Amino acid sequence: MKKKILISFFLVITVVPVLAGLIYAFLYSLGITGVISKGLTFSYWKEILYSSGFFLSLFYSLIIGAITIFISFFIAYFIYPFFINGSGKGQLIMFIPLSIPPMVWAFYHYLMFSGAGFISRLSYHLGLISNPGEFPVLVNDNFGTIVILTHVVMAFPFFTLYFIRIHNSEKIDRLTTLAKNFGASDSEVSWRVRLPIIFLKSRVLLILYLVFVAGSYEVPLLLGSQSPRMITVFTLEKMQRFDLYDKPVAYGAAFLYAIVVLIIVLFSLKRSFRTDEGRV
Amino acid sequence: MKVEFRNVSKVLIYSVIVFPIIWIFIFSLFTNWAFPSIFGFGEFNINIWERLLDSESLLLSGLLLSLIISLITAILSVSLGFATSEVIYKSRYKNTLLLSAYFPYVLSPVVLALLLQVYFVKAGLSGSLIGVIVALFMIVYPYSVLFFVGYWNENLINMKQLVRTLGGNKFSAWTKVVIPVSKPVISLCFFQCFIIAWFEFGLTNLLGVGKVKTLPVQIYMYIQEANPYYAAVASCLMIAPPLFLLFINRRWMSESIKFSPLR
Repeated sequence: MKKKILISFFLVITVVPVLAGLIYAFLYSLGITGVISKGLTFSYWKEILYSSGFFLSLFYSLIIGAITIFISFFIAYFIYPFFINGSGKGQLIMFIPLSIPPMVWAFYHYLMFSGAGFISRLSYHLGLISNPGEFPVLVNDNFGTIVILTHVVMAFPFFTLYFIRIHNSEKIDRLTTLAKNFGASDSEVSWRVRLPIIFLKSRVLLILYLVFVAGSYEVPLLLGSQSPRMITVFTLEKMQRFDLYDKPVAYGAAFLYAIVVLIIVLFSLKRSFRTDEGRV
Repeated sequence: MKVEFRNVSKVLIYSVIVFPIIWIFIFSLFTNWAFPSIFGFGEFNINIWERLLDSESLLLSGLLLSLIISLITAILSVSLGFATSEVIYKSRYKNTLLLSAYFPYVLSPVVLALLLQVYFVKAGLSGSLIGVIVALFMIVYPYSVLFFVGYWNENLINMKQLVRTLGGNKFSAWTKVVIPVSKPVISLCFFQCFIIAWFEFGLTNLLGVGKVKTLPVQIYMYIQEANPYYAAVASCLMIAPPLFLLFINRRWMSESIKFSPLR
């Protein structure tokens, strides 16, 4: 009895709200419900698919996520061996960036990299620029430079700690010794033994983290560009506009984004579960 | 040479990690940071910090509000998540149930808030403290379940059964064995759940409709108002509790990655 109650409670918290939200968003985007509902119409979906910039925002978000993961992966990959041995204080310090909220990271990078920020002032004193206007636009730029940097400083400490765990659980030290006994050089061990194991063992984490970065909100809101916008900023801006006819588009965009994310996650997690069970 | 490179790299990494905290704290003690001053930071001014002691201070109320919301969310999520995780661990449909736990967790919280907004308005939860806690619980509780499912093992189940064999009831099995044995893991999960709730901005801002002014909401508000000095004080207040919890949990922290749902 207790089991049934707990499982039902769990499903009510996890599945029911998401499904209910998705159904409402889908119906709203079709004009079936909502304050401006006039019956079934595909006009909002035409706008979402062809002219709203939804796909550009989605693609842009995924690219920002992919670049972040790529940079963070290699930073963590190269630095984690420094922290494997020792008193553990080194590992503890990696938790500090994880204890700083994304909003504070975004604010800090805003103070560092904006036109009148710390780096701009440093450049002025080094004689590289003569006024703030000459400092390159890094905050709110189209390339999402500081958005990526902000996510990298939050991601690489987590990846470092995670790779230390993989290194220990997969006994990479022993495999390294074995490879060296067979004549492998340090770089061969690094690229042909360590890298494939770390990558294969962390690929689900990498995909999930990519989804998190693509779905981040406060960092692109403060530091991201206006065009193209990250998908969350795009959706929220559509939702909060005065024009009521933008709301169905916002709901449709949220629905489509959620479906894309759920498919990516379902696919990668199912694969992960199968791997855990030894079926792949 | 190799050792030197390693030490230099470590110092560089430590600087990248620690510098922001020191810099934001120093920045919060000054006002009028005019271009091109770098470390001058304008005028020394701890008025904003002093105003924290004022009972009508928005920052103080934001700090208390954030603490209340995060603590309630974390306590509820950890206690219910631990109980649920045992049932899911033993379930035949474990993997399917775990997949569903990822649903609210991987969707961007702000998108989840947007999808749920209409129901919160209809239920009268929009713009209220309870509404924000309920919404945060929908993200943090599945996280807690995922965390604890990775912790349950046959040894723990056997220990629980041993209590029953020796005449103990279900309640004493939890209170006398499972919880004391799992204390470090419970602390870690509490730390992580607290942090998720503590960090959340988009969902709180959307479902709180600007009425629930937690610290992240205030930081955003101050940045919008071009008031970085207040934002810096609010940032210091946001960093302090997680660092305090990190210090308390330092012995067990490396274990937390082992149980992280992001496997």
